[in-house]
Order: sequence, then structure tokens, then C-alpha cells
Amino acid sequence: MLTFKRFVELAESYGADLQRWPKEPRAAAEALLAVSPEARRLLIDARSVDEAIEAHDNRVTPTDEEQRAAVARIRYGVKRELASASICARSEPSVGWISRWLDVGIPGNLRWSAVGGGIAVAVVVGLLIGWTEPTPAPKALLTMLQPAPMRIFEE
Amino acid sequence: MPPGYTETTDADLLAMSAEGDRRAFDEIVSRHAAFALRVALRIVANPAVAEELVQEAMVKAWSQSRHFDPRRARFSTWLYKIVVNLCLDYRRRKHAVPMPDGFDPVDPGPAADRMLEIGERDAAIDKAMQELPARQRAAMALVYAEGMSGSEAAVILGLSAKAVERLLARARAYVRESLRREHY
Repeated sequence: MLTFKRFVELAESYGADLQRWPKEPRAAAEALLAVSPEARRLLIDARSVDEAIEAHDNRVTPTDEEQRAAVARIRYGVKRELASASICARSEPSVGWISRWLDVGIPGNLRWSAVGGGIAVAVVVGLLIGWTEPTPAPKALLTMLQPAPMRIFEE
Repeated sequence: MPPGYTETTDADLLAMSAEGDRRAFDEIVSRHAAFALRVALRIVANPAVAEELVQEAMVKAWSQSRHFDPRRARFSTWLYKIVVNLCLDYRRRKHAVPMPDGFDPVDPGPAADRMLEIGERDAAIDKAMQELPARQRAAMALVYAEGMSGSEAAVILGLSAKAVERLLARARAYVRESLRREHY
């Protein structure tokens, strides 16, 4: 059952073209239009707004040629973006194992902080080791590491 | 493009894209870019920005292709939702940044350069349409210009069908009132 109030609401939303209206009330709307001059007047008023909107739409809609050119640019742009994006996608597996390894017991937002902290600790420890004066290697060890004289010509 | 791609459904092409098939995704772009562009253009009212946003939406669709579930939504609905959301975000950001004093903004309307050629009534309509809030423009673009039903537009806009009806009614009322104000 389509009330007149609902008819007004639909006309104010979808305009005069009943094809735009939801399917269910269309038949009832046509029946109402057949008997109600007020309903017909309402759609005539709605049609003037439709025409204004359509006229604006025709002015701003790109021509077929403009649209084809724009689509070609979009396709090219997307291809270029995906080519650069795929580099990132390929690099993902190489660090993926770190994520999986860190997955145990460390919250997601702290995982890479943990990696960074670990690297920082390793650097500090390395610097501390390098800072201390290296002890001279034992003489016997140096002798062992020295290559033996090579004989080129047999006497 | 090999015939295999052109005959494949959107959902299958997206599944292939999720496996890294860029040619499959190019077929998706070539199928849907024109529609996406028209809708974006009607929301942001600037051809260059609309192109950028559609490109961004396509790249986003590629990166999220693994998350698309064909049992939950049609591919086109899913893609257009991404496009419309990016356009609404753009409009929101644009309005959020206050312009400095004395700033002379560039007219964003695609019809700006044609304004002098068209009549006063058309200029009044174009002005009214450009003044509409982004969501009202999006609803009008989907239902009036692209012929979607209110329910389809509602899914894309993330609203109820009733809410879309209200957006359309408010937009029409504003256009009608603007024309009345200008004595047309």
C-alpha cells in the first residue's frame, strides 16, 4: 500500500522518473498518478528539478574521448605504481621470518622495537669490546698462521 | 590482452591479482576505471583530482585484493566503495584546512572555464550542485547519473536505503531552492 505521504517522499528523493524508484511501489505509484491530479502535479514539479540536474550532469560529464584518455592515464599510473609496489611485496618474505620468530610472546606493536633494541645492544657491546686494548696474540699462534715458504724451482 | 583475461569474471581476475597477476588487474582497471572516474568527478568536481583518486583507489584495491570475499559482496560494489570513500575523505580534508586571509582559491568546477559561455540559469544550477555536501553529491552521482538503485548506492555509501533517500531529497530541495532564489 502506497500512501500519498510516501509517494511525496519518493518523488522528492528519486524525482519524476519512476524507473529510478524502488521496484516495489512503482505499480502503486502509476495507479495513483492515474487518479490523482495532485500526484501528477508533484511529478511535473519534480521533473523540472530532474532537468536541471541532468543539464548540469551533461555539462560536467567528460566526452568519450576525454574519458578514454583519462582511463589510459589511470591504467598507466596504476601499472607504474604496482611495479614499484611489487618491489616492497617481494622484500616482505625476507623479513617475514623475523616477524614470525617475534610472534611468540611479544605484542605486535613492540616487535620491531624489540628488533631495534637488540641491534642497538649489539652495537654497544661491539663498541665496548673494540674500546678495550687488544691483547697481543701469542708468538706461537703467529708462527702457526704464517704461511710456509714455497719452493718454486727444484734444485 | 589475451582473450582469457577479457572473458574472466571480476572476482576471478581479483583472485588472480591477489596472486600477483598484474595483467589480470589491468583488465579490472580497464573495465571499471571509466565508471569510477565519472563518480569521482561528480563528487570532487575536479578532473585531475578525480583521476588521482581513482588511481589511488585501484592501487588500494590491488593491495587489499586478498581480503575481498566474493560471498560477501559484488566486486564492483567493493571497488566503488573504495573509490567513494577516498573521494569523501578528500572532500573532508579539503574543507578541514582553513584558507589563509586573502587566499584566492582556484575554482574547482570542471565547468569553470565554460561558465562564461553558459546561461545564467545553468550557472546557478552548477553553483548549487557544487555547493552540495559531498555525500549528497555521491548519492546523486550513483543514483541519478549512474542509474543505481537506492539500495545499491546505500551499500556503497555504507548507509541505509532510507538514509540515501534523505540525502537525495535534501540535495534536490537545495537545488530547487537555489533556482527559486535566482528566480528561475
